[in-house]
Amino acid sequence: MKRFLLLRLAGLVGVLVVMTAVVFVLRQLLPADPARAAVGPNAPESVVAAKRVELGLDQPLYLQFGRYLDHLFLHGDLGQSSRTSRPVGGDIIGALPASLELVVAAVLVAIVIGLVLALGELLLPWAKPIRWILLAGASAPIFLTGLLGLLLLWFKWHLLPGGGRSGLADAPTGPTGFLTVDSLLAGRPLLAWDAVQHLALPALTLGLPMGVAVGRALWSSLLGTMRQDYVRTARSKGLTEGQVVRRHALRNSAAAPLSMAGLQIGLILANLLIVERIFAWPGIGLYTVQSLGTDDLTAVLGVALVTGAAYIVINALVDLAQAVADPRVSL
Amino acid sequence: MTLPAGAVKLARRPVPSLVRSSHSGRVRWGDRIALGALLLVTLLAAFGPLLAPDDPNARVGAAFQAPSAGHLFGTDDIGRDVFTRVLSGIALTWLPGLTIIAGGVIVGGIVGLLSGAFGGWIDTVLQRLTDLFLVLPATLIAIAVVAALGPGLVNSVVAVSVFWWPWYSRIMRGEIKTLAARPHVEAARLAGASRLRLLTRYLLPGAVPAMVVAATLDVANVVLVLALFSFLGLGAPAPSPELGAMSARSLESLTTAWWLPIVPAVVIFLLAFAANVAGDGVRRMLQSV
Repeated sequence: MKRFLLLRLAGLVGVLVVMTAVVFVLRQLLPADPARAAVGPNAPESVVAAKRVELGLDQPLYLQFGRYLDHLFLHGDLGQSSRTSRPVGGDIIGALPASLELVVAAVLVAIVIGLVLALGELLLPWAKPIRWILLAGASAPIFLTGLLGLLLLWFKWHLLPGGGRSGLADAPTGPTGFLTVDSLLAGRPLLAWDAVQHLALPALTLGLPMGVAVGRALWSSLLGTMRQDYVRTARSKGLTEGQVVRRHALRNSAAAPLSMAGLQIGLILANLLIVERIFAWPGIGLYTVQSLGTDDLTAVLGVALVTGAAYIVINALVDLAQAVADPRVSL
Repeated sequence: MTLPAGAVKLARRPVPSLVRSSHSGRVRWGDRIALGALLLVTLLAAFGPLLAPDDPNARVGAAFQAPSAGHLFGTDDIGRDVFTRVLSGIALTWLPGLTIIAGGVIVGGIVGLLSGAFGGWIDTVLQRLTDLFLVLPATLIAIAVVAALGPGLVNSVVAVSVFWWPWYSRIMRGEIKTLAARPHVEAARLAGASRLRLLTRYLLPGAVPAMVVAATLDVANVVLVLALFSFLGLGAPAPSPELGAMSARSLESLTTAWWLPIVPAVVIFLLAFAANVAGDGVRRMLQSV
């Protein structure tokens, strides 16, 4: 087990370094000159040259990469955004809680959708058409579900708010950064309810593709498990189909949907850009879209690095979770 | 450098069936219709612009006209015919998508073939490389790459292609490994067939069905990823009638002219849906026998 953990950890660090290297190479491709950007457009050439030496831009590339890693890991330095004129790292930290709240809500939604679809299709005789829902859900572009939701639930039927995190101006800002949790902690349930309503549609939109994918994986995994001998034994001792699934099959079928969920986190992080854009959700997705729109590539690469690292770490954790949940997963 | 154990398992598993087969081995009408739809979409992508009533970038009337007999999907914010633009947009989504899949099948196929056929250190190196590409957050990095290289359809296709081959490498390697242990290959080897002949006559043809199934099921994924890129403004530049970009550029019209952002998105949905249903049909036809 210890050897397994160490190997995985080494692999994790390796992948993170590779991804950092990709981002570093991309930074080299950018047309903008960091030295020129630092001293301003009107500074004489000699000042730019001095700044270039100061920033280490005259050194060989591998030394620059070392310097980049050093700044990144020891100081969390992701460069400066040309759009907001602030450090990208600070911008991301500021926008992160909103996105985190949305992603957590979306994953919860996805788990519920996945379980309902898979178990419904398996157990309910009248629910066979669910396969068409799965197929349709796997075919819908994220902005179609988002826009249809807005059009119907907000504009036509006035059931849910149309965008943003809250309709109220005096929302609390701490301590967790999750508006729903903070409002409850501040003792203001109405505000929390408002936050939940704002959260509902974006979370549903973001969670739906993951829910469908997890549902597909869980269903096909369950089909295999239900043919096992121990399931036949469980049935023959008189358990109902629901009990068989709950007590015997579900946990044994968890590996594939769990990995699918891990892989889908990557899709959620990419879809986050579109969902936050459509719902004006003030998180890192909206920040990235606005940076893309103004060619602020330092910011785009900063977000890609942070979210990419999160994706890699999450998948390593999913991997561990599988090993813990199912002792048969080979270490 | 290791891949999550579960992900490997997912990749090695046969593609899960969505629509259960009631009887195997026979071609069902539903599958034929789905395959016909796939062919129709490809023809539409190739010749759609010729069928279009107007020039996709020309003003043909007043802006924001609602759908009518004259303009099936209405007109956009500067009076262009949305039906024409959607028809042209299908080509801009579908053909690059097929290109990416073809590239993935070829590159992944070659990597998987070398890996499975030669084994040893070649296998180890190639599979570790595949692992690396599989654990990297593909879409995020591709977005960053396109942003850095500059938006454009070619850059998008290249950036997505770079991450699209590893699955095919895995499938091909798995197929080759399984086939190599089968009696007819063993017999050919004993009969003195050369390595090249073994590869081209006995191993490669056997791996084709699995690759075709994976590729067809993949069309919907690639259509959706390209739509995402297009929506983010990373695809072809402004006047070009890309479906995702058409939707993104008319977001503000959602409450006044809902069809402008919705219609292109629905068309993307239909493309992906046709591809998904057809992929399922192909899987049943080739794997249930």
